[in-house]
Amino acid sequence: MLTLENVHACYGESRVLQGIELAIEPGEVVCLLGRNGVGKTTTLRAIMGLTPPREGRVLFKGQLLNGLSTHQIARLGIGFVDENRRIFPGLSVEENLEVAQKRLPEQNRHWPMERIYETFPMLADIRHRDGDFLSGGQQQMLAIARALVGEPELLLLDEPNEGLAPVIVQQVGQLIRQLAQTTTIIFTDQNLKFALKYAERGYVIEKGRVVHASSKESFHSDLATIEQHLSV
Amino acid sequence: MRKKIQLGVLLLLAVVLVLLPKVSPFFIVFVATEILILGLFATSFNLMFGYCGLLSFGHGAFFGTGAYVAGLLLQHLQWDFIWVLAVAPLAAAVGATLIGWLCVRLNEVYFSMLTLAFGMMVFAIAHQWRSVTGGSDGLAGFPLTEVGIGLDIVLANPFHFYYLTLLIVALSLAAIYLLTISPFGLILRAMRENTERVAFAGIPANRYRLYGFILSGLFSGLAGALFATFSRVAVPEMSHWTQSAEPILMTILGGSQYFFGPLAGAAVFLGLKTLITSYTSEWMIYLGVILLGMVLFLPKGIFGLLERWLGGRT
Repeated sequence: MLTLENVHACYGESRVLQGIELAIEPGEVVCLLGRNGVGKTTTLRAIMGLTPPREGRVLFKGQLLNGLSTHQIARLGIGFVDENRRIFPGLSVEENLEVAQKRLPEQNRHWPMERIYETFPMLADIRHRDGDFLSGGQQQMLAIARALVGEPELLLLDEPNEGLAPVIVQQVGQLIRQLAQTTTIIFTDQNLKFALKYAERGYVIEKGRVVHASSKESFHSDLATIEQHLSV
Repeated sequence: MRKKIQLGVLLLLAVVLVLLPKVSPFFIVFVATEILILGLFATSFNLMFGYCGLLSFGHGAFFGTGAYVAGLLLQHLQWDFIWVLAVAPLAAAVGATLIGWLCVRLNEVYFSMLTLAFGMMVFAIAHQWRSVTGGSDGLAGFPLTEVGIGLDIVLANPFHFYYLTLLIVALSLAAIYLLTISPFGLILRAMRENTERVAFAGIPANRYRLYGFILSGLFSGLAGALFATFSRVAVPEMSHWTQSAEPILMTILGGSQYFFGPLAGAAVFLGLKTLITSYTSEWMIYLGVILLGMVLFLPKGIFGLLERWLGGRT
């Protein structure tokens, strides 16, 4: 579904990605693991064309993404939930969703508004509230919901747990499990426990390279190796 | 409740504006006409600033284009005024398309500087191209034509011109308002917050910025055409950066986050200017001090202050 071949990307002069290789099959839930600053976020940004690759190729369903602009990549069916403040703070919850809705005939939607509000009941109650006044957990849920109304086949979640209370982290995990039935998911994390619980397999990234790739079978038995890479 | 108050205030304002010429002296009507025209200019500027989050320092280019095209059409072709008002904004929109196409790729201060440069380029053309624009003298003494489509309006009559301006400005503000609450307006507001996030929602951000810029230029051109007809001249200063700075001041005064902020700001700005010039010719110093105080102590403008008095946002 998604392949990265020898992807290099830079911020100015510093080469953050140095030959990333990924191969994601349809329906998988994959975690990119690694410490702070190793290039997890940049990998996702490179896929979205936000930090365009200098070298190498990004393929989505066989189509080359290099050179496409971000909105074109999004329209091909990749949803991105970025980290930090993930929403439009000056827009209401409903407006946040409307702005991202894919232009489609209503009957062709997998994620019409009613289904969004069924899946995220907490958003239904606050649909007219401004983004400014949402808690961190509500913001994260809204950000995921906003990605879904764009009708993605592949969902990229950047550090979906960062700064969230444990009970919300659990909700995010359950949501990932629920979405995984219809959507391919890649998320990044520094927390091995969450990854083991909700991802099927993982890649460990270090200094802009994949240093370890687990298969589904080996993911849980590779623990020692993964932990070694994640510890300082 | 809040909506009802807003609607009530708007109706009251409409009644006052319609009755104004009946009860006030000629001079007030004259100032009110200027406020309406520059209020439209500031509102169209705010489509970029308040809604898109892009500070244009070159909107005088479109105001000036509208003014000159209107002046030239009246001088050489004597078209009915209604057609002048249709074509002059279109000319400004063409200018906005060219300038915008180059500017909307840039952000923040780079956008502001580039629009400033293009604005001054238009000023230079108006200033130098004597055979067409009349150089530093500008275009003056162009005849006022019939309005056309059977309307019995005499442009040279200030009361008639006031009502015509009121009608056109009201229709334009209504059109801009409808734009801001449409899905298109929603995209503009989202871009103000975060352009990158708009892009990964699958929306070509720069293209929408350009659409916003063109519409903003269109209405600025309309304001310019009205202003040239109102003041009976088109001069290079109408596209000077000082002209571009006026809607910025008005918008900040009124409150950029509010639809009627720029119009209210125009009223305060021109009201103060008129008042102070009646006492002293050094009006700029006094106006400057007052504006400085207002910007420092009312960061959200007059509307922000009103909102605080009325009990904060819902």
